[in-house]
Amino acid sequence: MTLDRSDASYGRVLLSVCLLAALAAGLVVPAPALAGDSVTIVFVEPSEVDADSGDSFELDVVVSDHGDYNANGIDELSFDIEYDPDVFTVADVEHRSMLAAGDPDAEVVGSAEIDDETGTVSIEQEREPSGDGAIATEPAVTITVEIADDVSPTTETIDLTNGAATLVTDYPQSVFERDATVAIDGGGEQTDADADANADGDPDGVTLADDPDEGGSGDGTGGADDGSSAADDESGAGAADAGQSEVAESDDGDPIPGFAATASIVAVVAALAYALVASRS
Amino acid sequence: MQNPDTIDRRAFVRLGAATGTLALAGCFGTEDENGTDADPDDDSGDEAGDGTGDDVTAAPELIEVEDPPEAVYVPTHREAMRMLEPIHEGDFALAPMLSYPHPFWVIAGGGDDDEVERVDPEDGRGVHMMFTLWDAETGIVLPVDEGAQLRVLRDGEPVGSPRSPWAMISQEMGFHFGDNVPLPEDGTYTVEVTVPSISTRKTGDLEGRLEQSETMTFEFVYDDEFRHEVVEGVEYLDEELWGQRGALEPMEHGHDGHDDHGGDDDHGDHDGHDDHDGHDDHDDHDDHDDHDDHDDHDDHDGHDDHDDHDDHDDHDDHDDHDDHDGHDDHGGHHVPYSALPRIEAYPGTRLVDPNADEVAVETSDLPRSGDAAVFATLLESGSRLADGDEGYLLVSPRTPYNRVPLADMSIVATVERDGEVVAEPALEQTLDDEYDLHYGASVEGVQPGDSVTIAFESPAQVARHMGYETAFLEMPPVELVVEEP
Repeated sequence: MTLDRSDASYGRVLLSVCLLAALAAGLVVPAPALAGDSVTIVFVEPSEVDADSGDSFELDVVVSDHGDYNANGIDELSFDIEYDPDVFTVADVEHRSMLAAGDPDAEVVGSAEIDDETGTVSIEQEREPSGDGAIATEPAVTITVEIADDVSPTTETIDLTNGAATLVTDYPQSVFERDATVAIDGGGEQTDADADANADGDPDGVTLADDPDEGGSGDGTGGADDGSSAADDESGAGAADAGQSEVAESDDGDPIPGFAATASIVAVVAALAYALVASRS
Repeated sequence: MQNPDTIDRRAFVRLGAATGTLALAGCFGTEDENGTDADPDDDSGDEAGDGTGDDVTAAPELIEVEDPPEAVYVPTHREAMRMLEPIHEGDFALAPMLSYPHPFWVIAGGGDDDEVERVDPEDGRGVHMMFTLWDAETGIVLPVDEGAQLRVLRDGEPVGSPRSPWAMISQEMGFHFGDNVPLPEDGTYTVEVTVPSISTRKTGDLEGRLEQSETMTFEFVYDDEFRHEVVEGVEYLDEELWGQRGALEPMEHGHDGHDDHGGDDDHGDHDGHDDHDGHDDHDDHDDHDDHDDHDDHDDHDGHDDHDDHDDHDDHDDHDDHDDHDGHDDHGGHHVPYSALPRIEAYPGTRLVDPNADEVAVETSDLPRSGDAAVFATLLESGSRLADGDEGYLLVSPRTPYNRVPLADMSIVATVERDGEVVAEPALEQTLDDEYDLHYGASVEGVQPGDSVTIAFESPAQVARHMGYETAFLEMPPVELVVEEP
């Protein structure tokens, strides 16, 4: 199976934005990463592929970066794509335009080192001239992947690792990486190496309120008020803002006020997006 | 000083909400107005290239807490910083710290006490420069803004204009001074910090000290190694913690691999203070049990170390007051954290919440105003803090988890008996070697059973790091009663 790139473009955008929305909403759990206050997100698109043994398909590695507080973008980018070399072979790597975004005179100078022994593609890119750097959500590379002929039905992961992005200010960015899965011949039991990645929810180094409504009652000026969201101020202005009805749920222990409803919306939309992509391809 | 992007709290909330809304809107509409598919390769008109338009470019997408509570909350991440060797001059000691430029919030001062301004870095190149200032003899962190100045030089030439760093509070660092400082290029920079004499009322061992302005100098290297160090040391928290009511523990706790050595107060090790890697070991969270050990040190200065509570409130009270006796027995660069004494350390007759079921035993149990925990006690006549034979009303507002003092407030107390006002003292900000920063006044004739209203005429005039910027703003009065014997 080979994905048609034009067909996939709509889905690419849709999934990109949904992934970002999901990340913003907290639906996607970012892998621990080197980080500052702002982030670069690197993800594979499509994030789920159905294919047969012997097929080839293309994957975009999309990079999303919104720059720093002063609208400085990135001018250096690198990451590794890792895969099972017994299952996949990377036949081609095409550098794409993400790092040149925002300046028609800018170019992406890149290298790609394919190591099919270890199953690693190492990507390094620079923007020339650096200018203000790239602020965009676009594919950084497209890889063509071939599936071996003799693969039993399985579900494999194509991982992104060692992501690094540097702003034109020379400050490194935080990088969050999202992987892709490939279901071959209907898929199989997935080896989920990441299953335990977030098992450690131990809030070491954090003191949590014993009670979300904690605080002395005083004359009603203490904890009772404190339980409210900042959006829930006395003027009601905050509560009147879009989509804030769920904010009050923070009193009920919603870890991230507004998260649950937002995440649900994103989940539904992402599912619809994926269905649309699947139907078009 | 900088270019504050002035917003009030409601605007701040809208910004957070808008970011999420825009992102979601992108899901619902990736076609342009003509109904054609958006093309991620199309550079036209959408610099962000993500289908969300210029709005997102104007508000950089960050990992941030949407709609934070109007209270102290857990931020998204723990900052990393390079800690330089403390320096001493006269009565002062100062520990410089550097991180990457990042925003903070200042009190707007526009008439509405609940207004904050987010101050973004004016340049992406540079550092967030901070320093903790304390009395070299007693170890008391000096949580008052008396107008420090810093000048940055390179090869003897000034870099930018002199700056007046903001008095700030952060969950990790407590009270400190800081500002974002642009730097033109890599190199070695010299910083001169001038601290003025402390005019705030000083009592106890602090009386007569800190009267002389001093200038201290330090150097640092701004280079690729530094940038990677302070960014790669950042630790994102599990996102389910983001925005929950609570706080990061002070950076000494859980980050320097406490190992219970003899129960000594290792907080000051700041293992990496001198080797600039103090935050490389984020994974070395000590377990909370270690915290109990720290109580041992309260003995040094007479503070009772009552309990081995494992409660969170105790986690942060370890290095603060053992510092007060000035011991620096850690062989390293002990930087005190500005935690106030635990409430049990204060003598006198407590002022209690008349509606509470039981008397608070921890800071987190105290009555709150704007999420500030408000402790108050009436010291008996003859107290060294009082005038003559009068009693002394001591009010100690603090952050609810880490007990960071809330400085530069304007507080008035109204004492009533049988519905009649019997005293209405304005409380004076005071620095004491034993009780640290508090607001106090001599009062006469206050009796058990009297009701005391603590009114906050202005909130703490200190800048805030993430997690504190929505707290301690609107501070309604707190009604207390002088505890009956």
